[in-house]
Amino acid sequence: MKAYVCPSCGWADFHRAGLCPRCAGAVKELAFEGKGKIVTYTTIRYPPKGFENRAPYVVAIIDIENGPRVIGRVSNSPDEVKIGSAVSLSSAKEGALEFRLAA
Amino acid sequence: MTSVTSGSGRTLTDLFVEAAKQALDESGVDKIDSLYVGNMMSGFLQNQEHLGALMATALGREGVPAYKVEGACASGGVAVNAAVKAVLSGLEEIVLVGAVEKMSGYTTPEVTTGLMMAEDRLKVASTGVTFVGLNAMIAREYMSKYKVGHESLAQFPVLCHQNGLDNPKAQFRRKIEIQDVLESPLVADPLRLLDCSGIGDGAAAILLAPRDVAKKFTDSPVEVAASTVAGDTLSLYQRPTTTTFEASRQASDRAYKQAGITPRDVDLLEVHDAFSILGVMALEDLGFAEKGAGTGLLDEGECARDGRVPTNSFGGLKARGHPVGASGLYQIAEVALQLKNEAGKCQVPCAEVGLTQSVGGIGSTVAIHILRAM
Repeated sequence: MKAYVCPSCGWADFHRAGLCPRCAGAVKELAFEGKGKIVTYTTIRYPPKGFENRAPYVVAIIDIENGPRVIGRVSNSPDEVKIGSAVSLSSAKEGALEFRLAA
Repeated sequence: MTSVTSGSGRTLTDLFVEAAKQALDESGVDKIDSLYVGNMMSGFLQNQEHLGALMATALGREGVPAYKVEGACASGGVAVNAAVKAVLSGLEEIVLVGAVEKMSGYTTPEVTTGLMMAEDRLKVASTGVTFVGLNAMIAREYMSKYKVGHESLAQFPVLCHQNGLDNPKAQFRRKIEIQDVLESPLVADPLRLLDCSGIGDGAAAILLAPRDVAKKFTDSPVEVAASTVAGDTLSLYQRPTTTTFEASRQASDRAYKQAGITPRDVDLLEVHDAFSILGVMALEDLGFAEKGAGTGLLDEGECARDGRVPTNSFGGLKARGHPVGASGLYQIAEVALQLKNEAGKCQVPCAEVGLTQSVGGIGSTVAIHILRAM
């Protein structure tokens, strides 16, 4: 996965930023393996428009190894997911990251 | 303040005019120099913007300079902050601040989508997460990090429903028990229906003026001892922890300095309990408990009306109701009533200093006001 990192203050995100939001410095594009651990998560049971047919589904905040903190869906069943679970990136369509539990 | 209701058929304008006329009639003010309107979702839900001119016209104050102020769910608090600065600038003398939201009459996915507009559409809403979902992620991290059970968090909505019983304008006047919260349907795990504020319509309004002018209209004016707004990065996932709202800490630190007080001097609190977890976190971020220890205040009854720090004495967002853009102004109007000793059955004893906390988005904008009896 691609991510964007500010060399001067360490800010990082998976979405492109023209300027670092923290220090307004220039941002560099770097590549990361899409592996990480779940920081926290929820199961969405009442979805917004456009997601009505998918619920229930898991959304998590994930720390990417040596990389940025991200938010994305986790495609496994809610019962399998825990804080600290290892996940890997499975798709990044239309800017939305999707992960699955690491084997 | 109007009653907070659902499905009454009242329009955005009906609600606003009812609250604004009440403020004007009760104070005897006729001429206003400007109008500030706090609101979040009129563009999306009602296809209506330009609320400044719309409401000035509806109120029979055509041509008065008028502004819509938007800061997501903190719109009401942020509107008051903008109006306070207008009065302090000396350019405007008597300013009417109103805040209004109409959320009923739409489907749950529509309202859910509207609320998510407070987060980053491309980065966060694109995942399908909802606002309840973001708060659920906070609750999950908080409960795991501090070993706090759901039954402890559930004390917050129970307290609010208890207080709301005595507020004739509250949306939910029903006593609930901890077990009711724990057995209500899951909305976004671990948060359940009774952890969450509801969908409602309402408006509130106040008048601001320099001290000498205010005294011409009332024998019991209330001083705005502090008015602050602080920001944080827009998205929850970009913060090192979800379990503190840094903007709450910053805005309240600055407010205590402005007012020249410490949390110990605060006699009553109105906090932004859109979700049970946010009520508990507010007690910590505002300096009333150590991190992870907020529920201890509830265990000991300290947040009840007869406790050391009466909190959400009119029912809070949970029971009075949370018409999102208006809630910040309901809080300020309710604290003003307490300080004037006009809170009826919701009255807390001997209140001289009150603090309100209004949170926009997922803690990305926080408005704090400290009011003092004069």
